Amino acid sequence: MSQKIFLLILFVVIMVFGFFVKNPFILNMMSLAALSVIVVTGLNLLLGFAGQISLGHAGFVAMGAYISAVFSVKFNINPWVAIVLAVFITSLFGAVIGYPTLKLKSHYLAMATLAIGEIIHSVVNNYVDLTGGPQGLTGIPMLSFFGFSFDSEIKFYIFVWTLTFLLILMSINLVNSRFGRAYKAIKSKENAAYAFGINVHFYKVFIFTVSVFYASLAGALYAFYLGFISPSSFGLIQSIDYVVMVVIGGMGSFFGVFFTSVILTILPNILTSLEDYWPIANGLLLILAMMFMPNGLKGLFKWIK
Amino acid sequence: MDKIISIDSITKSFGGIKAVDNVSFFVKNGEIKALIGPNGAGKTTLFNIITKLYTKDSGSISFMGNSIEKYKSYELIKLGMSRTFQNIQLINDLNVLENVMLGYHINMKSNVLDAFLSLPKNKKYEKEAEKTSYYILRFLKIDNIEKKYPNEIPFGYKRLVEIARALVSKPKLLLLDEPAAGLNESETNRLLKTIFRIWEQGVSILLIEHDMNLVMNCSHSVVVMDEGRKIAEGPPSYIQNNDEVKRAYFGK
Ligand SMILES: Nc1ncnc2c1ncn2[C@@H]1O[C@H](COP(=O)(O)OP(=O)(O)OP(=O)(O)O)[C@@H](O)[C@H]1O
Ligand SMILES: [Mg+2]
Repeated sequence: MSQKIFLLILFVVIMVFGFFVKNPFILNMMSLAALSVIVVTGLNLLLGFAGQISLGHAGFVAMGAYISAVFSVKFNINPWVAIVLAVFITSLFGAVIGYPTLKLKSHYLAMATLAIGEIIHSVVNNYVDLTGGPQGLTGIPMLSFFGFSFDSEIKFYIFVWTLTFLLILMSINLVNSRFGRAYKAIKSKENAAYAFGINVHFYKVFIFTVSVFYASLAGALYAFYLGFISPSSFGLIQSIDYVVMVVIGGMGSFFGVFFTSVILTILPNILTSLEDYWPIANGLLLILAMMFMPNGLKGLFKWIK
Repeated sequence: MDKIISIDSITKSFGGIKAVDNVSFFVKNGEIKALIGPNGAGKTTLFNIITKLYTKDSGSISFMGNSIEKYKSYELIKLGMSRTFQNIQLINDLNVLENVMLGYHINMKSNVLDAFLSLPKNKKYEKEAEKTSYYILRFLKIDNIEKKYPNEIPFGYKRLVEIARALVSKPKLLLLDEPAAGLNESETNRLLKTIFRIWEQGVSILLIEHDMNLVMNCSHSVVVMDEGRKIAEGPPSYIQNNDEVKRAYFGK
């Protein structure tokens, strides 16, 4: 079966599920899962395909969320315009910071991106005048579209899942193009890639920027969906969660990563009594996956070409 | 312009050892030139300097009459220079055809937007790349393995796929780093014919090789390196009887 057909089937299933499940709690959880899928799909391009790690992606989600929310709440800018601006600014920031950072390799890159995420987190935490600091930022308006307001769970659910599938579709397209081949070369044979005419550093910065774009877009939508954001949603733990989702999903496997991010977003919401143990469980999951299934769930989706 | 590439006084050291020591020679247009020498002579290092994967300490290189000083490694393939690697560099996540298409990367004019949205331009160049790559596989008589992945094909085929990928960009100069290493006799004979057929297409070839039979049978001229230095140069018959060369190979 082709990737696109499977994606279409998945889309139909998600839509049908949305129409039949009336429970707002479940719809809400699924919408949040969609936002995770967006972030992780972007991170999968960077980590799964280009082989470059980021331990700071929650920081870019935070930037998307805070910049758009501050524009809207403090400067009264139209939410959609605020989202576009926030995504643009964050992506530009990603490109600028990615330029020197992606000259680093493996654990140096991991450390640098971790630091970037932590810096963003602490700016958000400490710049209380604009961000509200640790208390968070409230009063973020609801999204509406030409008078059509996303005032019920199902409306946002349809919107965000449609967007999610479009973003996955775009990623699949990219991977199946000459750029996808180039990134696979960069991932496994970086030196040889130069000889094939690939400007390796530029390509790395580009895919990093794309993944920042995905992260910031999810962040901005998160802010307007929940109406409230606080720094605790965008810390190192979340950055690691995203990496875990890519690794367990199977590096470079769109569908493995899809199901892993849905499940790993929903589980902690259901098992709220285990909240304190979740980071531990996540860490264990990562270690076990590394030891026993280094390819994650990739194998499960081998039949999709 | 009778020289396709001219290498002048190239020197490169790693720490204390001079891997390439003041080496000069050129490859004539339409020539097959062999570069031989014992293990560690500096042959691959010289290839890496030519293709700018390593920076040289001193010396200069000009390709088709122009200095390549100002070009980056990833720009050389556009000028018409491509190479294979001694330790095969096939991408395991890509099948044989896709590996060859990778060599066509720079010939495709589709941009990232075309790719993201799968626009007609992207499809057009994908088709073109597929067609050209398939044509090259057929030229090398390995089109039967186009859908196989590198770890599913015999070693001898890998060497040919590596060559196919370097050929698909239609280079003017092809740099082959030990294409016969690891091949059995019949595979080597087949490679010899293949090299001639590539050369017949007007491609100049610089060939690193240990297999003396192959070198003596296919090259117009031979350069011999030992411990970083060029110790002899001339037609195969001359090299075969050169004392300096014999000493380099057998005298230690
Ligand atoms: N990246 C590097 N760092 C340090 N030393 C190197 C490097 N590359 C090559 N050398 C050294 O340079 C010398 C020449 O190596 P090179 O690989 O060019 O030899 P070669 O002629 O290709 O040998 P072979 O026939 O075994 O492939 C060797 O002593 C090698 O150890
Ligand atoms: Mg060598």
